[in-house]
Amino acid sequence: MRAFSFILALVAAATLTRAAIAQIAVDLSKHQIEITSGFDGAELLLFGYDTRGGEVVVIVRGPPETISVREKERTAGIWINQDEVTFKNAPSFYFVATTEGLRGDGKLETILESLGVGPRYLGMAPVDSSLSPERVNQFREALITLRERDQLYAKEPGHVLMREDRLFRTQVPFPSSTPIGDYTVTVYEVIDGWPVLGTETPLRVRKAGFGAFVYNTAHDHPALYGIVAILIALVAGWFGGWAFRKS
Amino acid sequence: MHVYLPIAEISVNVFLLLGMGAGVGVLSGLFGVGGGFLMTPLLIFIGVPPAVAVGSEANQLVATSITGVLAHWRRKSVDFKMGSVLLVGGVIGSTGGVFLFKALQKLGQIDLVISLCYVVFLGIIGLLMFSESMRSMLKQKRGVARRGKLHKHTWVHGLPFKMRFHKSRLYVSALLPLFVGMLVGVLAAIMGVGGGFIMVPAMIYLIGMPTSVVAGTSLFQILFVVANVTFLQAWQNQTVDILLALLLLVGSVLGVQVGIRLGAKLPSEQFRVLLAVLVLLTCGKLAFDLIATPGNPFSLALGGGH
Repeated sequence: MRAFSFILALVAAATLTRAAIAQIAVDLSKHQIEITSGFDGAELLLFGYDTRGGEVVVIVRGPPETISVREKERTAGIWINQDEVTFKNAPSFYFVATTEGLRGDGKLETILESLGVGPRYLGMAPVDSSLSPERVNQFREALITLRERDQLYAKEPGHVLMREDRLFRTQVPFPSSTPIGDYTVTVYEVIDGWPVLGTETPLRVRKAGFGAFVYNTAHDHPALYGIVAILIALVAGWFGGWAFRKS
Repeated sequence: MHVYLPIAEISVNVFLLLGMGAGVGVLSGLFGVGGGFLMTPLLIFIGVPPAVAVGSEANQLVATSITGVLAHWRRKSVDFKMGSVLLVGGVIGSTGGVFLFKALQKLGQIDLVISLCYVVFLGIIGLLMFSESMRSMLKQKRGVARRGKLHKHTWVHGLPFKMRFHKSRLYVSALLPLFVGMLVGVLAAIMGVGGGFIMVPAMIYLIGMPTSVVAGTSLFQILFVVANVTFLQAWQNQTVDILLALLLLVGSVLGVQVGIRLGAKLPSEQFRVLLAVLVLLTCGKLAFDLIATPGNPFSLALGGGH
């Protein structure tokens, strides 16, 4: 990934007349989000320094997933799932933020499209669907809408605030249903309307504490987990009955 | 105060879960039902994935039913022989049910099947209960004693493999409880219920067991069936959330006791009608959701379907 972005940066630099190389440094307030039992969403601060003081685009993406979109249709009076399209490489989380200069007039959209990183341009490829491209597009839109509803995809681009033409920062909101995995946080500098890869910084979302222990046991030792679940319930039920019989 | 449920992967208010446990617990204590048929739809309603709702509710029912079985055991109101035959059917049925659940999930039709099962069974049981309790209420008012034949001979008594059940004072085909147990087992796995609301009427009307042993025996069977469902759902589908089950359990253990004490003071017939109404309302809501045009016909499923 790193090597790839480096090459991208080189290509971008080479194609530009003004040999534009982004000159920005970025960091996150935290490089790890821990989902503990008390987790109810989180907000990270992304901040950086831009020597040139231009426009900046921030993109945060969760690990890619394979996901099925199903459509209900009325059949014999009731609504039943009928058509289904499976997409590969759909990011589990997507957030974009930009400085004021790129807002409106579809400027941001053009940049995202050229980079292939907007929600509609991410290489979310349908897996051998027999449906027409128009229908597949409908399903793609439905996927984006549903994820926007769950606050996993940003509905509106966030604000990157510029201070003294050099310092910038933005808040990245994560809902309580934030999926786990390795995220990519990419920052582009826009020079003369051209996006140039500035920098990438890692972000990891993982379960921690008791919740992580439960989750890992359930997946690594499912049979043992099942037996323990039954034993806990038996003891709790027995204890409940005993406690109230005494009283 | 929110708590993140590690398997359901959602954050829910702790007091909401405790309250749901207590509320359904009170109803359980009041009416002597497990309450799974109310709890599972409620869990799905607050956003718990259906598969996790079913698996975790089965886990919670293990606790509820052991409390009940122990109480009935002390009162010697469990027919262990009948319970064991029901249980054999129950284990076969619930094992098949868990695998059926997995297959339906893959096809993307599990939510539909869960809803349809609820609508059909809650509808039938609700109507039967409603008419039955209305009738007995009317009779009570008129002061007419119940009458009925002691023994009716039907096709049921013509079945082979007859077995003697001393406790229930019955001599019937073992196929009958085996079949009832199997049906309840499938439902337990798919609907996340103990199945008492199906089994109790079936034991009374179909098998002809005396009411004194019905509750204890059905709880005995339910205990093993829900334990089997918990194990298989955990093992095969990783859909048992211990934390969720525990939170519901705390509420329900308290609620059940309140319900039992409340039930001793209140007229039971009127409350039977109330339970019937509650069952019919749940059924109506689920039926409405199946028929009404959804706000968004699209839904997502991780991992790709077929």
